Amino acid sequence: MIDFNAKLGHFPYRPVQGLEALLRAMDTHGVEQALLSSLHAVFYLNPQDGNDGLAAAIAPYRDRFFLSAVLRPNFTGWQDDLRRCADDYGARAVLLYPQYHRYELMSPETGELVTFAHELGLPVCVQCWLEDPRRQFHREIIPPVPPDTMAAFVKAWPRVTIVALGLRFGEPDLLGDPLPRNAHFDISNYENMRDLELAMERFPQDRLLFGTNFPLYNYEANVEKLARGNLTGAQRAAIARGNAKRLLGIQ
Amino acid sequence: MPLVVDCHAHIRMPDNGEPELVLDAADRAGVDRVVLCSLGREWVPFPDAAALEQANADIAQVVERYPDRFMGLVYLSADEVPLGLEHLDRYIANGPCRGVKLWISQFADDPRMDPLFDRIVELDVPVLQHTWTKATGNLERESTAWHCVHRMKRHPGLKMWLAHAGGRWEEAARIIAPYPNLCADISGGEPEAGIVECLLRHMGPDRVFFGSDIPGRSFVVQMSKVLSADIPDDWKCMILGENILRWIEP
Repeated sequence: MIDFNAKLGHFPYRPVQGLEALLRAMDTHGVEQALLSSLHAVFYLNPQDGNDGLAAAIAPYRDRFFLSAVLRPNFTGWQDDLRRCADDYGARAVLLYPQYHRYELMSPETGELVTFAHELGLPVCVQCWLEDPRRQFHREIIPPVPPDTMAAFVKAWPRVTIVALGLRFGEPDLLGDPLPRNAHFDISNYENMRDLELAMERFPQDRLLFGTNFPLYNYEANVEKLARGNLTGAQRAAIARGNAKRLLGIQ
Repeated sequence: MPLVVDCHAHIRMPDNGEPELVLDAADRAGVDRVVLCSLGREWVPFPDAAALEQANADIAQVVERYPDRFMGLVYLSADEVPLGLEHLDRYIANGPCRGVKLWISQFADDPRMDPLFDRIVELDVPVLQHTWTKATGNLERESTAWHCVHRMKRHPGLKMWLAHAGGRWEEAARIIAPYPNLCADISGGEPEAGIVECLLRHMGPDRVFFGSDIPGRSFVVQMSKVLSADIPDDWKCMILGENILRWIEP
């Protein structure tokens, strides 16, 4: 299995687990590899400080982790940071937090970043929902990325592989009907009594990715969601690893 | 595997296959029994008498059809106290239901509810009280843990559990800790790591219940909050089913 949505770092509003716990959870549940991003990078002024720290922390585990570079197009020098993440750290994806980093997903600046990532062959991930707004403890509530904004973003970049992280049940439906060919989403926050079963009725199986949103969510939640979902073997395999391997260029 | 009892589940319709879908999902998740309530076929904040009649008749129908799998709660409102008293007798004292569900048509400590709570204590059945403390702002009459404490002070013999562990569970656990007959379910909300451990630090393992809040949530995801917790296995058994059965079994 490949976890397409794991994170490492402190979270400002409650204690969370770290690298040892992540490795233990992955080993326990048969997750061989993870696309990992820095939680520090969400809250630091310069997200590259978070990327640098994460790259150093996971350097001994190159067979287990791939870096997802958290970048913001409204911070000078992001081009150099992206180049460094790709060339020096082997980053396999770019991750955007437009709500936390205060920029517009549809702005020309974001477009430059998307273009550069695409030139490097990297999928562009957008963290649409990180934490429940009802449980936030910020001075200002940080809302999720509106699904219609995400739909416009997906439509604006039809040749770019885009992954929406943290979408809730019902929200992938709002990205377009049918789901645009470049649109993908992870299952970390996709929950309903028949979640994956209904998803398979609505979307091609090559668009869903196993993701845990570790350490904010317990690891078992999405392992069990996938294991106990009423799916065919082919569907489960695609979500668990096949789709991630294709998007991340893993042999 | 311990006996697993979900203390917090919903249906809207009794006869369109919905209960069977719940049972199918429960079977795949390993859930043995489900405590079921209806907030009406249309979830309106302030149900009228007709909506309450429909909701409670629907629950009774489903529970009577599957008595080994479902246990029912009676839905009440402060706007319909005489009807509520009648329903407590019809569906609990002389019917198949085992407890009461309260949502957002009144605060938990609304004095208009006193006659209903008097009767609930007489019947010795528990109350599932919706609770949340939302950073985004609560609904008009949406109870917090404090409302439950105020109610408990007026009805010390009451057994009440807070749905969603009050939403802001880090604080709700502290608020209700001194009141042994106030418990909390972990239903709804994202599978945030650490919720069960946090509740147990303040309340002890006999006061936390597993619940899912299906169909908007899933059995397996909500159960993972318990199964992933760093606690002894016998505590997990208590939370997964033993605790709610202690209150709700006749």
